[in-house]
Amino acid sequence: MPRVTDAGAQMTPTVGIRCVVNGKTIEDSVEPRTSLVDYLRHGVGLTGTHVGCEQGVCGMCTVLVDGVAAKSCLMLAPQADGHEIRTIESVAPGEELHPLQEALRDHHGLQCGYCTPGFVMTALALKDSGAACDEATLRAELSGNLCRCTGYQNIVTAVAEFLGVEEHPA
Amino acid sequence: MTETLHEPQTESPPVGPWIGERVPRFEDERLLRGRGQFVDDFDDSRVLHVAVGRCPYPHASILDIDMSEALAVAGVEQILAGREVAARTQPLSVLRPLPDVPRLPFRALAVDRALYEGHPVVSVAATSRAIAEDALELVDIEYEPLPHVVDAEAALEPTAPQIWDELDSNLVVHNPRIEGDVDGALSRADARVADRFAIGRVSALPMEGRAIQAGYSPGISTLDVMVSTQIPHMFRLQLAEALEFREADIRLRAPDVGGGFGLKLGMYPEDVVVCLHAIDLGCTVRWIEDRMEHFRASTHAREAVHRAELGMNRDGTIQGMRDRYIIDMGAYNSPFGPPMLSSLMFPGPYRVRDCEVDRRVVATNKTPVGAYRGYGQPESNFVREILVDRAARSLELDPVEVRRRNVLRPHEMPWTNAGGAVYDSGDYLRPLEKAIEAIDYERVRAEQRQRDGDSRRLGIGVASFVEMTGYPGSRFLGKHGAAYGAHESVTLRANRSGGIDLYTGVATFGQATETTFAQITASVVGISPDAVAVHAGDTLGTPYNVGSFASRTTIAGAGAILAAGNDLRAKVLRIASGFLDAPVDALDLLDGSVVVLGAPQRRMALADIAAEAISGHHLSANEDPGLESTRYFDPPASAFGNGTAAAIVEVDVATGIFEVLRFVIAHDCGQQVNPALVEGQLHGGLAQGFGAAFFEGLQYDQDTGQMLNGTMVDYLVPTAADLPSFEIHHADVPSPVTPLRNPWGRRGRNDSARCRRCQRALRCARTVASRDQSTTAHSGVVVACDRRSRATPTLGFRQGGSDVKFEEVFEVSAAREKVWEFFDLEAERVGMCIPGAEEIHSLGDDKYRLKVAQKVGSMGATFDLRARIRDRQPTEMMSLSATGRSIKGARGDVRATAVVSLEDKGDGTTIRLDADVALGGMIGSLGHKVIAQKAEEITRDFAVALGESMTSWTAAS
Repeated sequence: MPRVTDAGAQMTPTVGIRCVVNGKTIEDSVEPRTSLVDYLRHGVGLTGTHVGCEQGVCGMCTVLVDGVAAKSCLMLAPQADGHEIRTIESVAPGEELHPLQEALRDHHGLQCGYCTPGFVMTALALKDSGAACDEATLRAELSGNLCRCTGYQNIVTAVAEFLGVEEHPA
Repeated sequence: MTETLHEPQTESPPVGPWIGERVPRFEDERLLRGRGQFVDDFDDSRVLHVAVGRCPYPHASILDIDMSEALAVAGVEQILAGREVAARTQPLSVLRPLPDVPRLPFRALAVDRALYEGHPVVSVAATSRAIAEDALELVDIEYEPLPHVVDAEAALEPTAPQIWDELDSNLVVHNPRIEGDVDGALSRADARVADRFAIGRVSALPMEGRAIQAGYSPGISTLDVMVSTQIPHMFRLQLAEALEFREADIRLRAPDVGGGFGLKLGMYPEDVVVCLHAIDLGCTVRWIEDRMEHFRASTHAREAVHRAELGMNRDGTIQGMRDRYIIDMGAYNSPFGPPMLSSLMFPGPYRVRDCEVDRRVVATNKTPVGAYRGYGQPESNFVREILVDRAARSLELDPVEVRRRNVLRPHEMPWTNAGGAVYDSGDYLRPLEKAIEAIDYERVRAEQRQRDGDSRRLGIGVASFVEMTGYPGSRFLGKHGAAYGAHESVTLRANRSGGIDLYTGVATFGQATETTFAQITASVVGISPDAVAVHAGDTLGTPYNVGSFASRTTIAGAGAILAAGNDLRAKVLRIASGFLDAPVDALDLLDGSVVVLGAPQRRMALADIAAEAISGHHLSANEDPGLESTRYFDPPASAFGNGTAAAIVEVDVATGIFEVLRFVIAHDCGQQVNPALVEGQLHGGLAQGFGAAFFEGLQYDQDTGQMLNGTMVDYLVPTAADLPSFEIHHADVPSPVTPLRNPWGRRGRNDSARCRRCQRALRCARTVASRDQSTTAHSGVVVACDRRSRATPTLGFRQGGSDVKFEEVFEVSAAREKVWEFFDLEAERVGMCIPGAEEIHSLGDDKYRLKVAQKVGSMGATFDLRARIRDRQPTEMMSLSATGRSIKGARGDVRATAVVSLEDKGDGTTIRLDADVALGGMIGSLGHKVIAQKAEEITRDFAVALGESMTSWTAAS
């Protein structure tokens, strides 16, 4: 599926966008067909947001758009115009990890780490929405993010701890 | 939830302080921040991107490739096709060849014939992926679909289309093995149970697909390759062989790898092509597999049909076992090829002496299969455990009691099983009892009986297994034709910051090599794990090794680290002895400093010792400078993990909807280096088993040969909402087969924790639950749940080789000569009668180009077609062909042939249209039924339009 193109070389028509990415205002012109995730990764250079299926299933590319978790492979870059985007790179800008990231590390909630940024962004949005109150709801809320390594168990434990959700006793 | 049953029983060397600790992973910091470096995360501002064109049909001749239009696209740098690539490269080497099988050359791009949907045919390098894909759409490839077969049993029929001329049939290899008197043992048994088990075709589906970047500069002449692989050193060798390069001229590294599970073992066709582009263009070139490609072009796994039988005596003793099975290899032998361990491990943990295993590997027109967690073990575990349960049931015995009676006991070890494997050690009863106790078996059985007659029943499933981990030595592998050894290696080098640099060829893809290797090194040498810097997966500067698979990395790696660590430690103490003026045996290396025993104030930091060793300024005359060691470890035998899984499942009798109430596994993987990581591996293996049991399975349409569910939307993998919590109990007994140089008796962690273990226990549970209902309800439940059960296999190929054939006969009032004239002179008008035709242009020489828009099911697409009149018999017959692909909407390719014949019918004419349409790509994946229905509709509308058009034309002329 198409990735970022070298617009200048192709004389392809571009559209101007202005958006805020991780607190910085960006003005740029992009090919209309560029997906948001391709733009973030190859246009802005924020490669922490990953690509897994390009059809909105796997959740690797989850970012926050105006605070709401969104799959950035299903958005075109021009649709980000006028919006505020947050990616994984903004979560712990300093030396310290974010408490959610610490919880994931402490509970061995990641293995290959490819899906991890997506889970972090989903869980952060979940925290803000206050939606998850029990383990079943939490698992349902996380079901838009796939992981092939962990069986989710330790991810659920870590996110539950972060959100203050009580897990089922085993 | 986690509990270690007992301390290691055998006498073993002291376990280092960091062994068995839940040390947080060193990999996590960067991965959690999104600062991992996967191949596609490296700067691509001066990188060319590759898109690969793939055959949309299961089997086709490649008649012509016209790349002129594509080459004219601005930004396109190079297009490669099969013949050129074949002339310049060797076929992919097979790392684990099937014994006694002729070489089936797997070329980087298909030459003249493509053997499976997704087979790479052309490759475009351009300034961006989008441009490369745009150009790919303009490469005009003329295919002639050939007869195909996508079912392994059908492929063995004598009339099946033959895929390889190098073979006598589609049977690639037949490996029978009989131990003891199987017929006799089965005939003496009080009960015999037998069945056919179809194991589904699955994808390992790592979240990061395959990825490669290759850079080449004239003058430097080193091919600098980054690739998402589990085996950097072997990959480099394969690449050198394919490109006919010196190994020394290739540097290959695996940066962060987003999951492997066996799928990333070895080189694939695209890897060779990307390197060719880089060499030809003298620059850096990248290819990132997208998910559509992943489903079609990365190895699949597991698919097999087992016909198995088990005989049991009234007292529960297993008398004999038999498993005759067919493995669907796909079109090629991939580097690791079909699974090798099903036969070997079929006897499992039981005392079975009379056993037959009989493997046949079959070629089909499907994506090649490759390694995937367990490499054939989950399949035979599944078959065996189901049979054990059924035999117990037929004799009215308790399935747990039967297992107790048959599992091997410690005094019988080492045990050579009837498949040929030598079990090193183990107390198989321990995890069985532990799992039974943990799940509260007797109480749940009682509850199950109470619920008899309820609408929601309980099922209890139990499954025991032994699992081969690691290999019994390099010589053993050499004898069996493997291209690799069984060893691992490390270089340990003390640095002047007081730490140790560890160099390993192992790539890190989730199994936490950076952490476990640091823990082991720290324990051996006497420093803190965070003082160990693990440099992994780069062939530059790491000793040759084998790589990460078969749950072998930590077993073999630990032995190498132990040897090198002991070397290093000995030299550190020798050097310190001179400076501290104390004999070596009065010294110890603790927390990064050498101290004099009994006089802890007399100490020398490792940093200072390293500085002295490296400068050499004050070393004694008989001491070489430097402080490093490279060591290899070749395990003398395989270590066998073992365990028992138990599940409680609640099933709604009416609907078949079930819930896994509890899932318990008790296992023995020997001494654990880091229990958190062991549990993580188990969780992941169990989740994949759960997926294979309930969700996953790649489906092919027998008639079209197309994969039906090759997208993430259609191929379901478990989500967090689908899985239960897994309860893990450790019952570790150290393995004695690694004692000489590896003191920790480590068995394979669990990579292989596996899949089928989960599947098996769940299936058992489900079946048990449903068995307790009436027969009718029973079958209803099983059918509702068993997503992978298949109807009786039909012959999965078509002699005509095309997907949909149809005919339409209709009459027009015009005379035959008039009708012929219309067809002959007004081809463009005829073309516009095709429903959805938007435009048609004559290209001269009986060639036409037309655009046709169609909607099939929910998918719409506009096709760009090249049509040609191939034959004419005036007033009688005309034949045409058309090929093309969709340029808008759903991806798809189409090829059609049509014959129009005319016959007199009174004053009018009967027009007979015989057509044959093959659809590939996403539209083809709709399957035969949908397409056939659509084709009928199109033909009908075409006939009507043609009749009308001709009437108006006749009237006008």
